[in-house]
Amino acid sequence: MNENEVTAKLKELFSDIFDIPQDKIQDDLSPDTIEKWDSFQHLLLISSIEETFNISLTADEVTEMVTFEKAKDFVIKNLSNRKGIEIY
Amino acid sequence: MEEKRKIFFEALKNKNYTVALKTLFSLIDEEPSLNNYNFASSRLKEIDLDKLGFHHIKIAILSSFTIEPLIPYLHVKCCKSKLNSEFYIGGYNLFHQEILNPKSKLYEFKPDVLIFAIRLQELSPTFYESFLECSKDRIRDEKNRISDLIRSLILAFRNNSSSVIIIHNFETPIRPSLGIIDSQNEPSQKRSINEINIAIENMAKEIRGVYVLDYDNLTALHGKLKWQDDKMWLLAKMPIATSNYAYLADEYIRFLKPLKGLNRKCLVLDLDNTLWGGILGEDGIDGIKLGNTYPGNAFVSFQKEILNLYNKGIILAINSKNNETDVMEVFNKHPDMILRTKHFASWRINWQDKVQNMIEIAEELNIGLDSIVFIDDSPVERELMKTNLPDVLTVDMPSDPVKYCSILRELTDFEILSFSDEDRKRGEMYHSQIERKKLQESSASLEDFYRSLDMKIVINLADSHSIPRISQLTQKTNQFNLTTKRYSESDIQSFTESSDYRVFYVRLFDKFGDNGIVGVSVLKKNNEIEWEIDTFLMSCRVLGRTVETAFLSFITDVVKKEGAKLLYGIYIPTKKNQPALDFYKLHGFKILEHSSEQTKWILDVENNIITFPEWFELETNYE
Repeated sequence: MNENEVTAKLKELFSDIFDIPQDKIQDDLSPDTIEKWDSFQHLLLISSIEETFNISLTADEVTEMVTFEKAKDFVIKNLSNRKGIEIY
Repeated sequence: MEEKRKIFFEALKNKNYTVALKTLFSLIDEEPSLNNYNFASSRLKEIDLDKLGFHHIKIAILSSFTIEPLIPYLHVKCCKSKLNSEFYIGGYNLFHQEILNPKSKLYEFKPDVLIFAIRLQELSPTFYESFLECSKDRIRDEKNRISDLIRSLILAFRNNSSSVIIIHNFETPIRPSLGIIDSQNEPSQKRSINEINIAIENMAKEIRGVYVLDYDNLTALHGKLKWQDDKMWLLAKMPIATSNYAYLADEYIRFLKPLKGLNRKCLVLDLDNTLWGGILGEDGIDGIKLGNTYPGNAFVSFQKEILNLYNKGIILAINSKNNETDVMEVFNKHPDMILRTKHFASWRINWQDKVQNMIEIAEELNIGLDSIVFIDDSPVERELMKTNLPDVLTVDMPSDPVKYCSILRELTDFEILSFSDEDRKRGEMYHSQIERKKLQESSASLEDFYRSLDMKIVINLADSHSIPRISQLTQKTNQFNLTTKRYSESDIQSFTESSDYRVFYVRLFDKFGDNGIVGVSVLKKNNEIEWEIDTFLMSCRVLGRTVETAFLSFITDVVKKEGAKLLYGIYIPTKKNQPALDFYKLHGFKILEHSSEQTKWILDVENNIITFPEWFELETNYE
């Protein structure tokens, strides 16, 4: 899975969970800019990301993941830490 | 996936709800991810489920932990079971207030079912976190405090509502505080928690309409280590790993199906490579694989699992392409067969197409196709069945017979909410139907047949022994059911305690044995001279034997003795109760009002007599 694929997949998830069109999703998207991003939707987002990419985010990552850009970074970091999966 | 979503939105736009729903489900089947469940759950609201004939169900959930992630799973799974669900979720850990205050939002919501999802970790952390710090007495007091608390909450809820309660029991710790010698210690941590669980089970035995969800077993079933999610617990009081909420939802579905009469009654089986290995027509009776070594033992195990369903009251039938005489030889002579002909209520063993056979089996047993589960090893036969009779649940069987048993056990369709003598004997009763049919064929006239059956009916007021079966009949009976009102055990209980209601049941005996309780009527007093038949139903198994006439005749006498001059009968049409359409008309009632929702009939009981058929002997304790 390359970076673009990760971004595309994440955009799908964000779009579904926060009910916004994919083309509106920028790196600085955050709970401040989206009304629907409350603590419950945040949990949903975390669970969906973990399930979709088959990764387990750390508790720190969960609390720090407050922009689209961070989500991308954490997913890529976790994927590249996993043996046998190559990020290119 | 994108493609399916497009099809879905297109169907939605055209108000083609059947296609929209089918597409959503196939999306889920293809990838049962949280995100897809969420997508489906939020879109379901746009589908007019009433138009598709779904049953409504109102589910209230009170919990001691974050349970919200359950909702998308449960919502979609309800839909798959033809249930249009509406939810009320109590405030986080506010269940005391919700239950104790009769004006709370919980009661305002008027739930059909209350899910009481509590954990001992929140109710009494002592049992998990500081067990070894507590004295024997302290643990005993705490055990009593928790049991008493739960009992008082259940009773308080019962005072305000008659709806069903599903209560979780408590999970034992993954590792007891004292480690491997916990069981030798007194008190033992695991045993203490189990003792509270036993107290909860006793409440379920005692108080009507209370069911225990074996949460401890559910966590074990899926692996306790995988069940919990420490991170989400610490961050958000969400103790269960998100994907496991799907399993929890499945477990609730096991209760909701029989509650709404959507459980299935009959298992129809193929033979070759289903009940035994190999093909009888080619391998012969000595060549088929069935015995105490592999692979024959896989089929023996499967037959035992099926026999268990039979003993639970599931009707068995055969639908197979074979020569009937060859098959009968196996059933009668093969030493390793577990199932014998006496276990089957109907069979079609021929070279006819299985879809036609299935229709005939349903007709013969007088059950709907949506009461049937079909098991066949052949993907081709399964596909034909699915396409032609989508109401039948055709199970996707794995090709490896070793897995057959677990597939059968994991089906959520055969759950029952009560287990009565009728259930225990159902198989026998259906099998004797075959004998009755022979007698009917040899009788010169219908009346001759009735007389030769030596029928006796017992009609009594509902009592504590009969209430579970009475409630079960109101839940399950679809065809000969005039109003199709579904009542829980506690509903029936409250009718029996009211002076404005009479609940009667009818039990039928004949020369072939006891048919059990086969009919129910709920009578309601509107005023001194007017009574109404709120419920009148008859198990389809005994239709065509005039029991319904005898029963109606009896209750007409009852209301007359109570001083009634007029008796009202209501008919509420459903998709299935066509057989009861003319019932009141045939017995002299006149139409009072008629609309598409219901027909109201009236009988002047002073000047009309419904003749009690002379071929019945009547026994009653009603004065």
